[in-house]
Amino acid sequence: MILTALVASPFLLGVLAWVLPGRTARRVVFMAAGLVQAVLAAHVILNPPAPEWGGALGADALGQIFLGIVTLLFALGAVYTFGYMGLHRHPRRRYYVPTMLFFLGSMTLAVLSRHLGLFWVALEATTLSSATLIFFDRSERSLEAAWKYLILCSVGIALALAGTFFLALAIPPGAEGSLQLDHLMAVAPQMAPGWVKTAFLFLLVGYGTKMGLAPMHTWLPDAHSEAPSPVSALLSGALLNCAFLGILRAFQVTNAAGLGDFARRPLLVLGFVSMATAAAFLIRQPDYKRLLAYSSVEHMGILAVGMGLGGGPAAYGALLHALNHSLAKALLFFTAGAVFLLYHSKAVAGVSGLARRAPFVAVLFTAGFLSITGTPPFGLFVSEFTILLAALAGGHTWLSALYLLLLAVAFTAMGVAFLGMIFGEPSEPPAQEVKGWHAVLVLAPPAVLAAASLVLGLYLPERLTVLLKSAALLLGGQG
Amino acid sequence: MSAWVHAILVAVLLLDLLLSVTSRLSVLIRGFALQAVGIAALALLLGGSQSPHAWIVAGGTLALKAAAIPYFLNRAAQRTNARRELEPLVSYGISLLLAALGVLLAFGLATRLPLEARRAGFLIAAAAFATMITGLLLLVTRTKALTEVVGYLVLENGIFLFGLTLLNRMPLLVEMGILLDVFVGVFVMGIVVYNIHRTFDHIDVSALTTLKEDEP
Repeated sequence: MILTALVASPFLLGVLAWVLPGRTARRVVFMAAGLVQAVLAAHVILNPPAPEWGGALGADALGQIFLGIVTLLFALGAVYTFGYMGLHRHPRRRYYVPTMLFFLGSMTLAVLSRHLGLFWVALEATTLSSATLIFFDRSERSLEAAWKYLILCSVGIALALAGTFFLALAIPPGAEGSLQLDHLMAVAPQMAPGWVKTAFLFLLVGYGTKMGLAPMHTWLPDAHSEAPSPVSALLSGALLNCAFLGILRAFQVTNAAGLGDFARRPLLVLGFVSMATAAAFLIRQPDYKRLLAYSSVEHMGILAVGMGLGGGPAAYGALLHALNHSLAKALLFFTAGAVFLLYHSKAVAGVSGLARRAPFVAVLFTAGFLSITGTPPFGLFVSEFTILLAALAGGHTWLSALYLLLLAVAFTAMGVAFLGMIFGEPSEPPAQEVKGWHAVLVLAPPAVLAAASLVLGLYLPERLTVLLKSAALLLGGQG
Repeated sequence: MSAWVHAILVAVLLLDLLLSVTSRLSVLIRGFALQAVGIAALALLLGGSQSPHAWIVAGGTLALKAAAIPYFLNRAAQRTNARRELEPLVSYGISLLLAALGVLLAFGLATRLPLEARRAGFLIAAAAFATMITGLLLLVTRTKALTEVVGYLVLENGIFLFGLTLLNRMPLLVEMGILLDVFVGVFVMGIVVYNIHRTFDHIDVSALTTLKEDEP
């Protein structure tokens, strides 16, 4: 019952927000949705309920991790939106709140679905609902970005649907079975290996497109930089992870079919290609929101590398990294929104002297930079280091060296950009003052995220490690 | 497999070739809609006319893909004055050649993959692959936004055709979800196309006023 309620409530509240007249009413519904989601999701994560819808809807360890990420970012994003839209002279659009809620509902359905067909439906629904949020300001650039996002992700996801069907065909004739995860895992050892391999490749390319793995990432920098900042944070921090979950589900089945080694190789290749592509585009990137978007490509690459290395510690590291990346990336996009308000420019060269103009924003931006580049003591350092140790333990000396090199390039490239923005002389008078209670709402969410990212670098609660370990176990990692 | 199934699959293959050579948007849309009619009929023939599941899938396909989506696409074409694809990246001759090669490739794939004839007919797999390849071809070689939407729809037709062989393994909810996603997808794509058209018109207008201010 509770899982159904969790999935249904954003959709119902979305319809309500669509019907209700008046901005205030819609805002109240929006905040209520964030609150309901937080309460229900916390309940699901703390007391995992029995599966529903005949087993198609359930919260296993993987689902719980990603549900937590989606919920945390949405709840903070709802608070942030209040302040951001209050300060920003965005055109007011009636469809913003309903669409955001449909977006939340489809992400929730995706993380909770244990049926690959249902997962596909949910993930495609996330594309459709978020596309309208990307061209929110109807500028030429944002329309182009929304178009590329829609067509590339829809086609990519269509390939994943073909992969899903191939997987169903691989079920041995006569065997009971649907596309439900438990059924698939049970019959996986008897599946036709040729079909399973084809299916995995289609699913990897399809969901990999949505996850932003290079070379299918071309839509990502446009979409993530053109969307309004609260939307960017959800796209980068929550939605990319949902697509990653699709690849993990495909991996679970492939691994159960005894083809785990086959699946790891393309993951490793796509992971390193993504890290290298992102590093190349991070260097001298003139637009700071695009900088953050390319950094997402880099970190999705790290996740793929972690899964591609194989083994329990690497999978554990990848999942921890997914969580850490979400916190840090949302922190950065939230803060970037505040920087945009202060300077009315998305150009790295258009921002200077942030430390003098707005010290608190500068502190948040610095924390975000240190966190995203994996500097100790932030959380990403721990997860990147875990993956590195797993690579070394697996005897991949050269891959470890390449991994470190690419991380160093990304660190340097981002460092140059951030130093220039934070220090220096603030040029003209600020484009806009960021103060008052709106500013509190804009700055509190990133501050919470910065604290969370710092805490995860210093101390991992035992509950979290247990959850991550059991999730890694689902991915075939022993110990 | 009845003669009807074969006849419909051949018609789907011929429509693939037609789609790859036509420059007229209205023909593209009609070709896609006819394919959808074929798929709806196949759903009934393969799923058995006693199965309510097959009837619902067939009805949904007809209502959304053969009626609602073509209607919506035609309206979008009218509003954006898009009638012909004038600048394809390859000529229509080469396009036909590629589509024919695609059909050959599809038959090759259908024979090579370990497909069990009883569960998924050879010709269905071949027609599904050929339709997927045609859709990808349209997506890659055409430049008009609406033609690309049709390309996506044709690709999806191919995948859905493939999915018909799995009718008994798929819950109805998922199939309806897929149809609904495609429909909403076309709707959102149509809105974006319309806005692109409108914004670019706006840009023309603002460019004109700038010139006026500059003149004196």
